Amino acid sequence: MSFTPGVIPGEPSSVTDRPGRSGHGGAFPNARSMFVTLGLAIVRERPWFLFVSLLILIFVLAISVNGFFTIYNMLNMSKYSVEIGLLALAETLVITSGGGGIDLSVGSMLSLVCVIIGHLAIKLGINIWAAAFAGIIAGFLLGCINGILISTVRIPPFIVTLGTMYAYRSLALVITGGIPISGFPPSYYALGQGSIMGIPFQVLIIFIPVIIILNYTLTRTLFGRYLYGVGSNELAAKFAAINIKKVRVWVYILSGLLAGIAAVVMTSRVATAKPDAGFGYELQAITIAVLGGTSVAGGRGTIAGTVLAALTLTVLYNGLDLAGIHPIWQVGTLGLVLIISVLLNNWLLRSKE
Amino acid sequence: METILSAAGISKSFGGVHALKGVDFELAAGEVHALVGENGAGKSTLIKIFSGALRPDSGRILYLGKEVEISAPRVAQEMGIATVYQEPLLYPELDVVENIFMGREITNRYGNIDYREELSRARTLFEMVGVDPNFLVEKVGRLSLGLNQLVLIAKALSYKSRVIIFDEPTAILTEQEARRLFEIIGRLKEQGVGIIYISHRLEEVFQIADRITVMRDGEIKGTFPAREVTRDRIVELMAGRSLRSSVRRARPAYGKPVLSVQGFTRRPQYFDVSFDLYPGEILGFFGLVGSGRTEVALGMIGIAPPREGSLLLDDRPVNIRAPFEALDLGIAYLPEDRKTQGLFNILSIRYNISVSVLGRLKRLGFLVDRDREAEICNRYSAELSIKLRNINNLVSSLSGGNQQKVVLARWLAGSPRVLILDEPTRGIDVASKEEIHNKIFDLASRGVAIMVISSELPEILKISDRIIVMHEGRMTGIFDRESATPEGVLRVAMGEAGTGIQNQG
Repeated sequence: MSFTPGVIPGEPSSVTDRPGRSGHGGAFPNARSMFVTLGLAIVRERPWFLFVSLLILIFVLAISVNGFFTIYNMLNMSKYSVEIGLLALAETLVITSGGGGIDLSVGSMLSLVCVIIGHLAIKLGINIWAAAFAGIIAGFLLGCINGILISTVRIPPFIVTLGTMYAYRSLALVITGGIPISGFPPSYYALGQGSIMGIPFQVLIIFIPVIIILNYTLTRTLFGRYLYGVGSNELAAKFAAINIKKVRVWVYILSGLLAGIAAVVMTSRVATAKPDAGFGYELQAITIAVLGGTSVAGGRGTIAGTVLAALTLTVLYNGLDLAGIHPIWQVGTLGLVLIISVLLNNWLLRSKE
Repeated sequence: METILSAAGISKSFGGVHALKGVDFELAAGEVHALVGENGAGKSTLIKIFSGALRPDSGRILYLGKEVEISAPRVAQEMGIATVYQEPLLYPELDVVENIFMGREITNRYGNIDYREELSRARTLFEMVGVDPNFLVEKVGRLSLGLNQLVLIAKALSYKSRVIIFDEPTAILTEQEARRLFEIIGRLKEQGVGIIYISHRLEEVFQIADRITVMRDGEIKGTFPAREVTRDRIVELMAGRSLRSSVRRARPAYGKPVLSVQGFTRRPQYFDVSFDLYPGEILGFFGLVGSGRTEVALGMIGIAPPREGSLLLDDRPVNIRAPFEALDLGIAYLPEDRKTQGLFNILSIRYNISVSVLGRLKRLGFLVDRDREAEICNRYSAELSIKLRNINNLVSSLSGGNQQKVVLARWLAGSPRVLILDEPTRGIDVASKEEIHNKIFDLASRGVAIMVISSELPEILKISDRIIVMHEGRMTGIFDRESATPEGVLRVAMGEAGTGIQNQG
């Protein structure tokens, strides 16, 4: 994604309204058309809308909340968007694949993989990195179970993942007996607590590469093409010689895989494997995906939209936190932001037409 | 006889296609007026206008002597014009009484539904149509389709309907149910209800109709008292004179068939269907709605495989369970319904053309080769003269004819050896139709085996080398180019023992 430089948040529309100034000669019409293009993009393209909203939000928090607009804070808070961001990306793939696609089990897969890593590394004393790798493989397999039940056995995604949400959650509790596992070796913390030039490790070596790979997958690979086809018109996809089952199985496998990666990031950040680590994350992840412009009807959804939505949420939570507002309010704000953002987008669309 | 419903100069077109051209029609009280014609002749459009589902572009409708505007189905219903569709839309979880009074329940003085009163009124209605009132408290979902139709008739009577329109009512009924329906229609007649009756089955039309109106190409070709006209005359008018192709194509060399369908059976859709398809041949597949022609094609590409029978490709049996397997073997199918089965409406033209061939243009095993993709899109949009500004625009920005060409381009891009085209020109403008026909000839001359399914008789007669006719799931005739006449083909399609199966070498 490329952003147009020199944009003043909240100003583009007023600039386009101004009559041309003679002093700027030929340069102005270009600037003007640039703003018009950007204005249209904001209205039509959800990622641009979110990008501008995010800039406005940062601007408002920067002038109203003390300590928000510092490089340290800006970079540090980005690490809190990684785990939920990865889950939201998983939901983006699943929901875009259509056919009532949803994965309610992402939170439970996160918990279960956390516990598996903890159990292997600490209770069984396996090398921590081998355990982390095994955890990611476990995520892959958990997703595979969802995928097979949904596309081969043909049980609706809502039912399957609701079922596995409870099953995986219980399994995590059974393995640990409900007690968090701690005592990870310090070398493991580096991933979740270290940074390079202030940029958290997990953002640099996990989140950003995953975003790039997924974006490339959706826009440039056969799988990405088939995903949008299956999501936008399943029947046409079937007639168009797309192997629908295969696409759907892989979507749920990727969802499990991303939950597994999120579990590695989380265990290394909090240095504990909690059996309830992902409790309630599934609905937040779905909310972020939808906020990012993923259509519940399938066929529409972008990586950029979801990432921007995840960042917006993190920025907002951080701002509220620094302003001394109790974290209890966080989930409430999430709901509010979802509704307001969709209202605003619809309103802009209507006023455009 | 007093006229209760009449139409004068009704015209209706859909994006350049004239479905009705200045149609005049009259219905008298107490008469059964049959409406016959091929698929696409305009019968459905006309009754949709009477039932308020469509508004005419021009013309007038008179009901009980007054000019009326039927702006919605509800308006028609309240006026007393009821339509009984082939598959009635009812609420399966509610009982018959509740269905009859849905939306205008009878209430007592407390505002509660007075079921007892509804039941007694429904009983009267059922007695009028002569059906066992014990069915009244059954859930509609448990009743047969025939009884569902009777529920709709009772509902129509509850509106004190003066006009009842039947659209192919017997297509899904058993013989016994059909007989009962005819008795009920007889009773309705005696009560002065006017009935419009649409059917493909000429026997029953002659059995119950007082007058018969023939439609073709959106026009009325004649209205006759049923007693004074022969079957032959009706069929002749329905078929019309067909335009023979001006393209004189060489007869394909009937050597070894590329594809051979043997004993395809999937009850109750089709039975024992067998035929061969040769390279360079255009094989027409004709049949009326419900004859099973599309179902056979769906069986061939694995959407709904046949229960019995086999498919041979180059003399080797193949087992196809999904369209992607069919395409791998070189068999492509252009689906019947462009909107729901063909197009990805929210995606680009580029996507819509290339989606099925992406597997052949991949780089490194998983990447889309965008340059070759664009090349293919440009080549096929030029070959089919698709009018577009940019291949990255949404496919929904194109006209119907161009959308159809996009879907066709998708299948041509797969360079199939066997191409099955289901209704390749339905609902598109004349120019696009002509272009698609020429493309079909061109492909055949290059050795592609083509099977064209169409409900338009003139199209089938124009382009086919051989014509297979189906009626109620069975093959009832094979014609070659020389022996095919419009009347002959239509007669066989309507279930008359015709020329029989005569295969050539």
